[in-house]
Amino acid sequence: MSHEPPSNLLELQRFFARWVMQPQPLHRVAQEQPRHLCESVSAVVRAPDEDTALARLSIYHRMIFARLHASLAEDFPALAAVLGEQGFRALAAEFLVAHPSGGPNLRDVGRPLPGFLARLPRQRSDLAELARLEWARVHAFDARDDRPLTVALLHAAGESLPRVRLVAGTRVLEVRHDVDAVWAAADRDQTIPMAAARPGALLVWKRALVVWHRRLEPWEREPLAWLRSAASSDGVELGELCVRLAPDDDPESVARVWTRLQQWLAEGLLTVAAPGASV
Amino acid sequence: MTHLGHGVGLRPSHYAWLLEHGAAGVEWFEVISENCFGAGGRPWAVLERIRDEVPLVLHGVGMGVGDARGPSDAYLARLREVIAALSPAWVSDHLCWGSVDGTWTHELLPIPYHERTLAHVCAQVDRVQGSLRRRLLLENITSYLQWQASEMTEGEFLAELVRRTGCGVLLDVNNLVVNATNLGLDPMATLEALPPGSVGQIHLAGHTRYPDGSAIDTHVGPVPDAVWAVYRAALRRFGAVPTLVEWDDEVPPIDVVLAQAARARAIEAELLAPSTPESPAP
Ligand SMILES: [Fe+2]
Repeated sequence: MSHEPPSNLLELQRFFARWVMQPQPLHRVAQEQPRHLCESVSAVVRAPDEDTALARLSIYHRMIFARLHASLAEDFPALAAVLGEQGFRALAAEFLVAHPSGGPNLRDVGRPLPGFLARLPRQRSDLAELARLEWARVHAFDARDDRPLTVALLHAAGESLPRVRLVAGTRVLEVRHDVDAVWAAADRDQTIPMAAARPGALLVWKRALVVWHRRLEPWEREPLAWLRSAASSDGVELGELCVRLAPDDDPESVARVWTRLQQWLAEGLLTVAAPGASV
Repeated sequence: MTHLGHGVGLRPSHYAWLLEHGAAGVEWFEVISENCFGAGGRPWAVLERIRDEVPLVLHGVGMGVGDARGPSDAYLARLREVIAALSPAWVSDHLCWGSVDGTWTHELLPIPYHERTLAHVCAQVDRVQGSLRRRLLLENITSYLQWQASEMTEGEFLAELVRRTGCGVLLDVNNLVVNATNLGLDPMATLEALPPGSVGQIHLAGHTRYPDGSAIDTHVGPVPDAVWAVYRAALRRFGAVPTLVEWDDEVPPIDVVLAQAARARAIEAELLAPSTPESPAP
């Protein structure tokens, strides 16, 4: 910090950010400044005295943190419920110092929060997993709205089976705790249980503008991983997917393939791969 | 610019109603540009539903014509894509800054009003208008502080910006009232500073007053009387201007917001109707 008032627009904006984009109350920051660095706010902000100038800057300080905090609370409601008002506020303040918003869209502010939680020295891996689930839900909600492939559309396609892929925004999360149970309790405003160990994977996706998640069944892992690896390409042959839905030569395989495919179709997990294709 | 009439701001709490009922009864919607920056989700589902039924206008909160480095090319590119998808009647943002050195505050922050920043903002507005290939409207903001460095008022700054760049003004009369309350600025002086013909749109909204006499621009509640009074003065100076009601917190059902737009319509009719004979013909 310097004695001189900022001389140009960039310096003025940096002055503002230095005071306002940190979590401490401004009067405390002013008191704790080393004397020799003491920066006069009233030299920059029009006010009758230093206290009034600080009070004016403080309005922005409160508004900015309130907005960012509200955005995080909206994206991570279960995490906020687990930590409680005070705990979540403290986490948000600490997080925003490490990861200030880096773009014009407020929706993106929470993106680094799961990773931040995972790297905290006092980390609780269940909280990081819960945050990962909530961010996956935000990501799915904001994804492009793909038209799900349905049994009716398949019938209409006749002989020419379409290439398919997972609907945009679908994610598979490996978890070690039952964060899905924690999420459900928070969602229903119920008493939130402590997360218990329950390794597995969660599937997160969007159907008809609503985001869903559920535990993966063992048979889904391989075909889903294969589908996801094909996500950036132009999809996969539906026939080949069917082979992967029941890879053994079991005589009941054909029936099982159809049951499994029907489940995925009913859940709206698949879409036609070629963009703009009108199956 | 066409007079679209009296519209309301599109808010997420109205999405479900609009998906079911469409936009019947709404003259136009203002859509927050950045809400459309994602690829999907409900904003796009709603917009696809209503965009053929009702005119849309794009209103940004993150362009930052007053940022020291100006709006980023990436921001303008994404805005161009949204414009291409929605064909808005016009595009607006604010006369403010919001980010520095890659950190976004997500607030509308005042710039110092003097000749050097004016030259900078003019260059940025020229750049934006060239990039979007259309006229930009810039809104006067709520300020909770004034910079020592300012040498002119926001109104004088905007007027000169209009003269040099050909941009227009989105006049927020609520912001004028909030600035009058907090900073003792005179709303009428701003109206007089702006040239007739420069105002392309008006914003109406509510604010929250606190016991210490301050006001915060919350966009909560119906439009207060003090704001209606400045609206009347603005219509007398600028004539009929497309007007929009913003209601951002504790958002009521859409018909409550529409009733505020209807009141603006009635005031415009009362003030600007061609004088009618004393006893109309039967
Ligand atoms: Fe406004």
